[in-house]
Order: sequence, then structure tokens, then C-alpha cells
Amino acid sequence: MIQQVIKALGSLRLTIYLILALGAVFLLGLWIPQANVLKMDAYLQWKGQHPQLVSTLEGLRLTQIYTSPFTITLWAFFFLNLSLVMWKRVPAILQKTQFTETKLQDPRESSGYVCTREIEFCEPVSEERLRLLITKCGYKFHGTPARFYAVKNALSPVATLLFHLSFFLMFLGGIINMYSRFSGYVDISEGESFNGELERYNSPPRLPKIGTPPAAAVTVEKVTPETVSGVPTRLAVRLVDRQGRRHLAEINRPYRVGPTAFVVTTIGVTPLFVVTDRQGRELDGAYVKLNVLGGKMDNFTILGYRINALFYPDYFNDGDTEGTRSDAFKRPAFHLQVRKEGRTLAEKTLLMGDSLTVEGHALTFREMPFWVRLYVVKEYGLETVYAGFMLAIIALVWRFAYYRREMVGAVVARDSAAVMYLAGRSEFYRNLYQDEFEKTVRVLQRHEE
Amino acid sequence: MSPVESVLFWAALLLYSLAAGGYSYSIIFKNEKVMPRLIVAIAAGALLHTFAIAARVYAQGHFPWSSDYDNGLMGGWFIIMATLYVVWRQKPLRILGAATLPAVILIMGYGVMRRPVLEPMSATLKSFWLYIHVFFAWISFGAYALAMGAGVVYLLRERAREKGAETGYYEQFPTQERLDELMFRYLVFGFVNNAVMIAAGAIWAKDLWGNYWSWDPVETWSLVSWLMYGLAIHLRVTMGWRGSRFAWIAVLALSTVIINFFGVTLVAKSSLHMFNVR
Repeated sequence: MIQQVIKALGSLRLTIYLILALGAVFLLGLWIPQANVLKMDAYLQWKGQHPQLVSTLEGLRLTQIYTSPFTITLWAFFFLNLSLVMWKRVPAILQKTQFTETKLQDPRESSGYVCTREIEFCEPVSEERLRLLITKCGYKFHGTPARFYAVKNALSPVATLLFHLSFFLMFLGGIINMYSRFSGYVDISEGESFNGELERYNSPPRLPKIGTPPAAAVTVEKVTPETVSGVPTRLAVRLVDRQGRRHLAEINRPYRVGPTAFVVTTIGVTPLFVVTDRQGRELDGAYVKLNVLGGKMDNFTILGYRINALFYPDYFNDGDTEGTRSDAFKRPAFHLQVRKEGRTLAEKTLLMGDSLTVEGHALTFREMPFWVRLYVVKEYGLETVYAGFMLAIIALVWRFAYYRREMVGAVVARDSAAVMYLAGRSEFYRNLYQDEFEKTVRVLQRHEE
Repeated sequence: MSPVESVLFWAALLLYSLAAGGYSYSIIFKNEKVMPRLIVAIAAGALLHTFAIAARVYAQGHFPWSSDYDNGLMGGWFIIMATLYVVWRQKPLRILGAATLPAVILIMGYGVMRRPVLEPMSATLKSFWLYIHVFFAWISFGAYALAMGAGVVYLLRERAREKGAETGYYEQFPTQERLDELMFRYLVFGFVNNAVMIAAGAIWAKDLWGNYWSWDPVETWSLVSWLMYGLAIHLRVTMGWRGSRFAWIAVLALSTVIINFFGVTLVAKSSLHMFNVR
């Protein structure tokens, strides 16, 4: 009974079914909105609008299908099947790669060799000469002229094992990564420091199941965005570490310290608004991190006033309309709407240095540093995953480009000359090998001449 | 598009369309004499296509790496170049154009409908890994398209044979055995390059997003298409699938790649639309 189960679990048919099942799961995950792919606010909005549907999908774990128990079970069976199949194949693969006397077949009677030829020699062929000729064609020679076996890329079948082994490496790396991963977003303004405090993250970070959150600390010294024709072409962030060393992080170039990476994701503006009284005394002031790029509206509170803010990076006002000419930060301005107790008290667009008056107070837009959103990630296991990638690619190239070719032959004396009977075959590419075999025969014939 | 690029692009597309029409004529009316002229038309189209790409690079300041139009432009170029290369190596393979040309016309046509504006290179695309990722993507796409072409030709001939209509016209094609092997070779070549593409994409994603794999629709679909081709190789190598069965796989599996390159956003948007996610 156990043998039958093991046989079923290690069958190639099951491999095919599992690949199809995983493919179906992936396709389902593409179709049904996934919680970890959709933006949080979009997902929550969808959930709010269709509670019944979303609850049902969540109950069936279809909104997190890639980590659902069903998918994990499929993966478990996949790797179990892979292990059993590879275990069964190891002896056959090792047997294929080794030379044994049984491989010394008569080419005139051997089955499975698709290409056959007779080559005439003017004189008997010594073993040394034959070995040289065959080796010249890229084969390894075994046997004697009376019966020989030649093989090219004998170890190629091992690449099959290596390719499938790479899956285990990727799996192992993925597991290490999953359990050791810490991640979270933090917004840091120019001049502001971040020392790894968990409460500073925008929302509770994902904590590692094994290990500790990152201890790395940074100060954001300067944020330099660049846009060309409305396209953000560069975003450079100068960081200073605990030791006072400067580092440059950009999009696609995170700042790395050990297993921790600070990935630059996006920026916003952190304008300084100051409220003064009639005598010019400062009553309140704050750098407010606003998410207003791309035409979004944001709000903040200062001295009890609730202020809605709209941002123009490159402000213009032609009398009739106001807006922004481009996304470049050439002439930043804020359109502010000051509200209190449900009433709008004042509304005005302020360039840097401008003020608006509300209830005898002056609200001034003083300066505008940036804030940068860094995605802080600490994880292990990546090297193992990348090693898996590398191994898979090397194994594929090895297996399919350096595939195995075999020849069997026999040199038979005829009068004062000799005839070589030759038969050849290869893995995978019969037609391609036929051309190669003919080339080998020509080489042998030329050397004979 | 710049005016120069626009003219070159449409001229190339016109030549490809004429050649595709010529292939249809050749197959329907069993006229093999027209084949050499079709190859000349494709080669001329390829030249114009190359100049169109050069014009875009000149106008834009960088290679067409990123948008749907870029994918159509470059993907089409790689398929055409792959087709011309195999024809140059083996004349009987010129029939592959009958299948690859329509695919090129479709993807270039789709691309040109997707906002082919000239844009500077976005910061998110400025990565060494992007170039590797996209380059190997296009190579694998070209190889898969050739496999599909060989599959179509195989099935056409098989159908003619079953109907008893296999005339002398088919003598110019490679043998069924050779076509069968070519399908597999192109498919394997595409599979290996596809693996490099996925690996390079994951390494790039780590730098860009902080995560080497996040089950993003494009990532997931690229894995689905890679798995489908892996399955095809398994069916061939371990279960001996050959001939028509394998040809159908080579033809149908290309749809997963086309969706990966062009249709994921459509699929993702339509699924969001279907589930009323705003």
C-alpha cells in the first residue's frame, strides 16, 4: 500500500497535474483581486462596497490565493513529487553517464542508433589512430577498434538533476526570506533622522518571524527630484548614516547596510507654515508632510485651523485660471483653504514667502523641503534564491545545448584495408544530429585520405 | 512618434502586410514561385523597421524599452529578425513567415494604438537589469514565435495530408520530422532565455520595489507562460509528445506570452472591473 502511494506520489503524471493545478491557481490569482497586490485603500473600498462578496472570497482564501492553505499544499506536493522523481532518476542518470561494457555494441545490430554509415580505410586502423580520429571529432573514446563506444557530453544528464535541484534552492531561499523578512514604509523629511523606531513607520511594519527589526539609522540630508516633460527622470536622496558617512540612494539604487536596504519609492513635500499674530509673534509653525503630488489634495491642522492644500509645482496665474505648467518644482505654490467649525474662513494661493490672513493671524508659507518615502527591508535568503536562478539557467544551457551524443563502431579488416561500421544517435535533436553525424563521417573520411 | 519614425513604421507595417497577404495567396493557390519575393518584402520591411527604431532612439534619447508601443516595435523587430535569420540559414524555412508575420502585424498594430508618444526615460526604468530583462524577453518572444510558426506550418501540412491534398507545393517545406524538431528547438531556446528574463526581472524588482517577487500580475503571468512551456518540454522529453499534439502546444502557448507582454493590464483591469474594484 505504502509502495503504491509512493509510486503515485513520484509519478510524472502527477508532476504534470501539479504544474497544471499551480498554473490554474496563478491564473485565478490574476483574475480575483488580491489583497497583497491591490493598494490597501482600493481593497478596503472594494470590501466596504461589496462586503458579502469579499467576505466569501476571503473565507475561501481566494483574495490571498498565493499563500492560501490550498496553494501551500500544492507546493508541498510539488516538492515532494519532485524529490521522489529525482530520487528515482538518480541511478538511471548516473548509469547513463558512466561507461559500461554493455555499451560496446555492434553498430550493424544495435537498436536505437538512427544514423549509420560505412567508411572505407585503405589500410588497417590502429587503436591509437582511431582514438585520435574520434577524439578530434569531440568524442571520448572507449574500447578497441574491434568494438568501440564514443560519447560527447557524457555528463549532460546530470544537468537535469541540477535544474530540478535549483528549485529546492529557490524554495529554501524563499522560506528563509519569508521567515526573516522585515518591511515597512517610513516618510522622512530633509534634515530629519530615523533611528529604526517601530512607531515611526507609516503603518505597523511586517515583523520577522525569526530575527530582529533593522537597527540601521539614517538622516535624510537632501532630496533632489528631476522631471523632464512631466516624466520623473531621477530621484536622488542623500543620506547620512550613524558614522556621518554620506550615501546616495536613488530609484533602482537602494542604500544597503548589511541585510537592510532602504529603497527609495516616492517623495512628497514638507512645507513650513508659520502662523503669526498682528505683532509678528510666532504662534505656531510646523513642517507638514503632505501627499499632494500629482494633483492630490491633502490637509493638515495648525493652531486649530483645518487647512486643505492643493499643490502647484510650477504655478501660473493668467488672471482667469491658475494651475501648474509642469511637474518640475520651478515655482511651487499652495492653494490653501482654511476652515474652522465647518466654515471656510479664508482661501488663497501662496507662493513661497506669501501669507494669507485669517482671523487676524497671518499664515505664511516659508519654505518647502521634501520628504522621501523609504521602504525599509531587512531579509535573508536572497543569495540562496539567486544561486537557484543561476543554477537553473546554467543547467538548462548545459542540458539542451551540450546534450549527449553517442556513437558505436567496429573496424573490420577487409583484404589489406579496413571498413569502419559506424552508428550514432543523440538526445533530443535527431535531425540536427544527422547533419552532425555526416560532418563527423566526412572528417573521418578526410583523415583517411 | 516623430514624423520620420511614423513614416518608417507605417511603411514597414505596409510591407509586412503585403508579405502576409502574399503568403496567404501562396498557401491558398499553392504558388511557391512568389515566395522569394515575399522574403525580399520582409527584408525591406525589416530595414525600414530598423530605421524606425533608430529614429525613435534619436528622437527620444534612449532605446524603446518600456511602453506597449515599445514592446510592439521591438518585439516585432525581434520576431522578424529571427524569421529572416532562420530563412537565411535554411531556405525551406521561409514558409515560417506565414505564421510569424501576422503575429508581428498584430502586436505592432496593438502597440501603435497604445499612445506611442516620445518620452524621456523614467527613473524607474534606469537600471542595468532592465536592459538584460527586456533583451532576453524579446529574444524568448522571437523564439516562441518561431516555434508557433513551425507549429502552424506543421499543422497545415498535416491537414493537407489527411485530406489527401498534399501536393508538390509542400515539397518546398521542410519535412514534418524536421519541422517537429525545429518546434522543439525554438521552444527550448525560448525557454532558456525566458528563464534569464524572469531571473533578471526578479533581481531588478528587488532594487526597484524592495521585493524580488510580489505576485504582481505581470510577474505571475510570466511565470504561468514559463510553466506552460516547461510543461511542453516535459511532455516532449518524458512522455514523447510529438507531431500534431506538440504543434498545438507550440501554437497555443504563445497566447500566454502575448498576454504577458500586452494583455496583463487588460486582464487585470477587466477583473477589477468585473469585481467592481475602483
